[in-house]
Amino acid sequence: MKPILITNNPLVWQTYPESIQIKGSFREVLLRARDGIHRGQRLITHPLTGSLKPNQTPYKSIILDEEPGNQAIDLVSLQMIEKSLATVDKLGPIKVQLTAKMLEDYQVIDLSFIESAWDSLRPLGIKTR
Amino acid sequence: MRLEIGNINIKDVQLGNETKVEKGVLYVNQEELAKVTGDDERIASVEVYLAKPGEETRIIPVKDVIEPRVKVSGSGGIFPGFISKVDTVGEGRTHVLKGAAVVTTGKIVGFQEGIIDMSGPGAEYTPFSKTLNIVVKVDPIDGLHQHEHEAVVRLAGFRAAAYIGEAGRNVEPDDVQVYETKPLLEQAAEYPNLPKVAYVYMLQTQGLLHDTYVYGVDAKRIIPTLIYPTEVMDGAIVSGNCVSACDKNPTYVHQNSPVIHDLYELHGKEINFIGCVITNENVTLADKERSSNMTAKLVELIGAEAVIISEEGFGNPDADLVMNCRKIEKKGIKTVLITDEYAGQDGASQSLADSTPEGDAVVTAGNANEVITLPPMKTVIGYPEVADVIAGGSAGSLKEDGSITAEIQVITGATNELGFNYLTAKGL
Repeated sequence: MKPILITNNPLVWQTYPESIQIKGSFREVLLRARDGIHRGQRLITHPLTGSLKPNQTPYKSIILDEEPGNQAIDLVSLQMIEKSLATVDKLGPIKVQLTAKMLEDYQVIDLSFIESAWDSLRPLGIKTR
Repeated sequence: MRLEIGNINIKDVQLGNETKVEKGVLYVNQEELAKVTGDDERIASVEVYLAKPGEETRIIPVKDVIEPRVKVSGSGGIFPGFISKVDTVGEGRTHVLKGAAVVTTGKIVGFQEGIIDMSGPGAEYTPFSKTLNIVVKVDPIDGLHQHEHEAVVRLAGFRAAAYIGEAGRNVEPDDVQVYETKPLLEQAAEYPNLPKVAYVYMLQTQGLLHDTYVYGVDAKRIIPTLIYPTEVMDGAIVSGNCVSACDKNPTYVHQNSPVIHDLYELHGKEINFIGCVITNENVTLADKERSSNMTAKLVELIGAEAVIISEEGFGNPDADLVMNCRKIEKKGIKTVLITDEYAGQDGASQSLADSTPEGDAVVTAGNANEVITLPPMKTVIGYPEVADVIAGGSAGSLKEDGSITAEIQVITGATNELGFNYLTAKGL
């Protein structure tokens, strides 16, 4: 397993400097994940982690497995990312004005989901940073 | 395991010199309650308020709602692993201050969710507009990190509920209900002609403000396991989550799970309720696969012929719900799912983020995207100054007059997926 972390969350960039930084929206993180899945990567974390909906928080971090040499498409991952994109489109854009404190808290919560995933991967000896 | 629940009906709550129950009135010593609740060096101050049904009062943001209970006989104490030692609970006798609730409010994060209105249209959406609420507002010391702040407020609520629950220890209950689940082989043999039904109880377990605890353990770290339904009534499962408050289970709802109560109601009449499996809703797909495999295996192992599965949340947990459903059905065991919907403000979009053809018997608790306007209230308990950043609100959701326009996902318990809510559908 070779996990890669893609994220638009500056706090995750800072915590995991090896993460792939997306300078774009929640939806763009999902699109980047979908591109990876089309190239043979698999989802390690669910694209819709958290109860904060895509029309509430701007931040999203996703961990994928990039197995060297694998080009076969994982259909479970593909279906999950497509359904998640459909959910993002259904819920529409963020409607409230986000304050600096809200942005900070959304970043902390998104980071906590990634920490939670690393906790699950620790028994596999996965290097997390 | 046999548990007697002694309900002491509380008709009113008042502040008084002594915390006690007298003739159905709960008196609370405000100072003592604040002292017990604030017994943590990370807490700077605790304020106590009362909020009663019918009052023009709004509580925001609600972090948890807890029913005051006290263990009067049998092993263990209330909230094992937190307030009491980790002894197994669920047998003996527990007294309940029925009608009273402890509500915690705290400003852990900058976005505010979890509204309880005690009157007006919002009150019709939350079950906690009908309870006599003792609200504890917990302010931490400066500089506390969000994770620690969350734990501090959560534990303060348990201390408050345990302190108030003590008042019921020596009071004769108005009624005593008995709930019993026998050891599996004995239970299966008791009603051999009734269908054996199990309950799969999914718990929110993703991260900060998205967690649930079982006997003090973070439920992310469990693999699915069997639990006697009566253990849940004694506080073996407690809440650590409140984001999108409509479909999260406050501790009160775990203590009073309508799914468990209804299954007991039919037990020995139409079904043989043989047990409960708790499982989680983690963020990794491997955890989801492992937990759903284990859940399906456990319900097969205990010989269930049909299973009720309840979800907690939306999105990520939809994947767990679907996996549980599919894998259990593949074993030839019937499933009925309980969920809620995010079907768009007009209710016309697809309800869940995942689906499966095996999910052909589904109960909905309502559409969380439905929009409501909550009128201004005379009194606001909590942190009204930040109500304009309600995550489920729409632009300018807090109006100058104090009214709020938002989706019902901001209302505590509005679309509760254990059915602890008021939304219903009627045939025309």
